[in-house]
Amino acid sequence: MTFNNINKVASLIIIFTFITQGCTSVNTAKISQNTNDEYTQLLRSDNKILLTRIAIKDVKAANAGDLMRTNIVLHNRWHFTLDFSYQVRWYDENDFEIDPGSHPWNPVVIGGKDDLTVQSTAPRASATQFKIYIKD
Amino acid sequence: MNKYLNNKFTKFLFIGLVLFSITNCVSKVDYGDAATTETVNTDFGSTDLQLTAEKMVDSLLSFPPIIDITSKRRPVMFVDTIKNKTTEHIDTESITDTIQTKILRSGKFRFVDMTKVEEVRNQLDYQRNSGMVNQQTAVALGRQIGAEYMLYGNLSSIVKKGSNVKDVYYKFTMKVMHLESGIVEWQDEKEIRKQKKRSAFGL
Repeated sequence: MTFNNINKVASLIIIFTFITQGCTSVNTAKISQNTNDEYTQLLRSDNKILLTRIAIKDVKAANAGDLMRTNIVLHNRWHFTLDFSYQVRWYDENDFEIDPGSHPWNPVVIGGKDDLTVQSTAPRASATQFKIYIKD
Repeated sequence: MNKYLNNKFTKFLFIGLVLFSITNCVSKVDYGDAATTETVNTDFGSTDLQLTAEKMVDSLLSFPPIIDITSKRRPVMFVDTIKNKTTEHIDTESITDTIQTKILRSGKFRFVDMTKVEEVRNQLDYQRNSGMVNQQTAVALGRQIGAEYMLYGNLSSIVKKGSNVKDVYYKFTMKVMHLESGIVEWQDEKEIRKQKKRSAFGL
């Protein structure tokens, strides 16, 4: 590879990095559009980029006997299909997690600008609140 | 050989290659998250087991007739085997164990363990007939509670292979039967589709 060719490859890498960073910053700006703080508090992730792309559109809760049930509508704010996993964790009134580590990560695919409904039933009657965790 | 090793660059390269080979031969064991998604291959795996158990327990505990049945008492249930109709060797008892654990911990049902009947019989026989046990402390016979419901089901699969794709479809069906009437009180299915695609470059 000649010096000129190396220069060309380096330029391409810089341009590609600039474009992808540009895409990320566009999506990061969208986080401010989510004005529903209550829903935002329910959605947790270590992946900041994923948090800008997935939002909670609607949450409903009801009782099935003495067990709490929830219906959560997730919305893909991105234009492209997203492949990620979610986990619903339940907590009692003291904010203690119920059966930590026993809830599986559910792999899901959600189309661009599309919605996905997830449901979960509390493992025990002592569950009073929940949070939904997402990861790549 | 010595002529080449005298060259400084060649020496570094040689040492580097030796170190690279050694470090690559060292095996390492790490602990991982048991709940994380496992996609080693298309076979029935831990994630499938966990997702199936969660879906079934969610469905059972939120089904209105079951809510009625369990609202004032904890009926006794026994778990029959899950029939494995796939071509894979799958430990279906592990699936029912997970489901039984979740149902039991929900506080809605109680279980009798039919896998331990022989051991219980031996222990009761020992207490009654060995002459070693104070009869005042021996467990009374004929006092066990009969199961009212039976949990059972089956697991089937459809496997299709193309030149570059393997598609596996699993269907897990589970039912709860009222033993006295023979009525199936609850039934649900969990479907799982897994695809393995070979990359164009074989990577």
